[in-house]
Amino acid sequence: MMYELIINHNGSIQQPILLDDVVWSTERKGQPGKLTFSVYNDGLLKVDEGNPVSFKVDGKNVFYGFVFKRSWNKDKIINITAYDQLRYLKNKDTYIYKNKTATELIRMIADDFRLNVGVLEDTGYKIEKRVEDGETLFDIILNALDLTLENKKKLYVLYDDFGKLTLKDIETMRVNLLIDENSGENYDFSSSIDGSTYNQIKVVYENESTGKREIYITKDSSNINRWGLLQYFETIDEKVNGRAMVDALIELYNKKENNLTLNNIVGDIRVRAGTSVLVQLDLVDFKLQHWMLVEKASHKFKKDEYFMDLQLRGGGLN
Amino acid sequence: MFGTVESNTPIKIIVDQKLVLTEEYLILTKNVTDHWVDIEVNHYTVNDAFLNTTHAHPDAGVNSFDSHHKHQYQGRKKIMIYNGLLPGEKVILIRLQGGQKYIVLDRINNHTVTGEWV
Repeated sequence: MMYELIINHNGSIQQPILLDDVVWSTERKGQPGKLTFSVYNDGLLKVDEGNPVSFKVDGKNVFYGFVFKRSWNKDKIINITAYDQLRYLKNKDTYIYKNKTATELIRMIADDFRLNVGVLEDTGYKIEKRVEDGETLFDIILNALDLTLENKKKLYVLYDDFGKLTLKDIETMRVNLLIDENSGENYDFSSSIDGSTYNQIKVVYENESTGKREIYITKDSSNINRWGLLQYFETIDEKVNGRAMVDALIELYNKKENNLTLNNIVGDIRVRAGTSVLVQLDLVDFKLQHWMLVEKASHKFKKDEYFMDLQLRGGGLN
Repeated sequence: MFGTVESNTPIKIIVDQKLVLTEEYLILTKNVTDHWVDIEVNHYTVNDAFLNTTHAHPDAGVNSFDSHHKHQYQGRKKIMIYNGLLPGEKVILIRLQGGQKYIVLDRINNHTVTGEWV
């Protein structure tokens, strides 16, 4: 493994000697990518908050971000935390927009906050109108992506691809990697209806012109018999196609939720949060063979080894 | 929260530079719209000498008489309440549950009135 970590301090390019592990972690939504590493402070190294940091493995781009935190002690070892530019989406502001897709919204926000944009796939769903007052840019964007999911059944992931904001449909983010019993040290698998599992969807629209609540309901009676009634309830603000919305929601939520945590599996830099990997596990009562979505990924680049910890989520099993 | 009326047709209220609310985000109460109401009255006008009439009658010369009188003013009457907002007026806004609409509750400043006042 060839690691190349570069800190750019006001134009001076530095390649410090790395101590311990370099850890790169990503989450599917609402968090920036993070790189933590330790360097020896030989007195020559110049590093300051805000300095760009890039990290490559075997010549391949892994992380590009900015120093946000430094800590050190007597031993002259500096621990550095850098975040990719998604960190700046924690800023709060006010936006009001009409007839825009999530893609157009992201482009507008990126422009206002001078973020670099790469490939942003067209989400294809125009949000009629929306007020976001004093919210984080993350929430403003995630609300738009949620509305897209609820209306178009398409889930998009926003991430930073080596310094460029990128938006992709999760369907296009499958990584050809098979994970089975032998991949990691151990695994922790759970199947649950305790989280976001619903077999009845109720959506309420407050109709201003009629002064009435319009109610849309759909349900899956066979799953209600199996699990009891689990109702999802939401009040919507605008007149969307309520029928289409409850149909989309029941498809998303009317299933068991599977979570799988794997530690210290052989690393693969393609596997970041938002990608999917093929999981094959021989569980006690059934064989699992399914694409699972990476919710969190933590890559640990050690001197001679490279491992990753993954938190995976999947549905569609009954 | 508070806002300033930028224009009234169509309605546009500015909260801050980035939050400019147009018709589709607003619910206007009757406090801030022109509207008709019925009222019921049962009054006399004041005893008024406004006419102060002096006029001639044939074969009687010029007569002068006391024209002081009052009228009854009674019944159900329709009136227009001019509560509509004018550009520059300050308003109180309340955000609706879900945050996607704002109720324009009332104006903060006094009305600008232009009607007759004797």
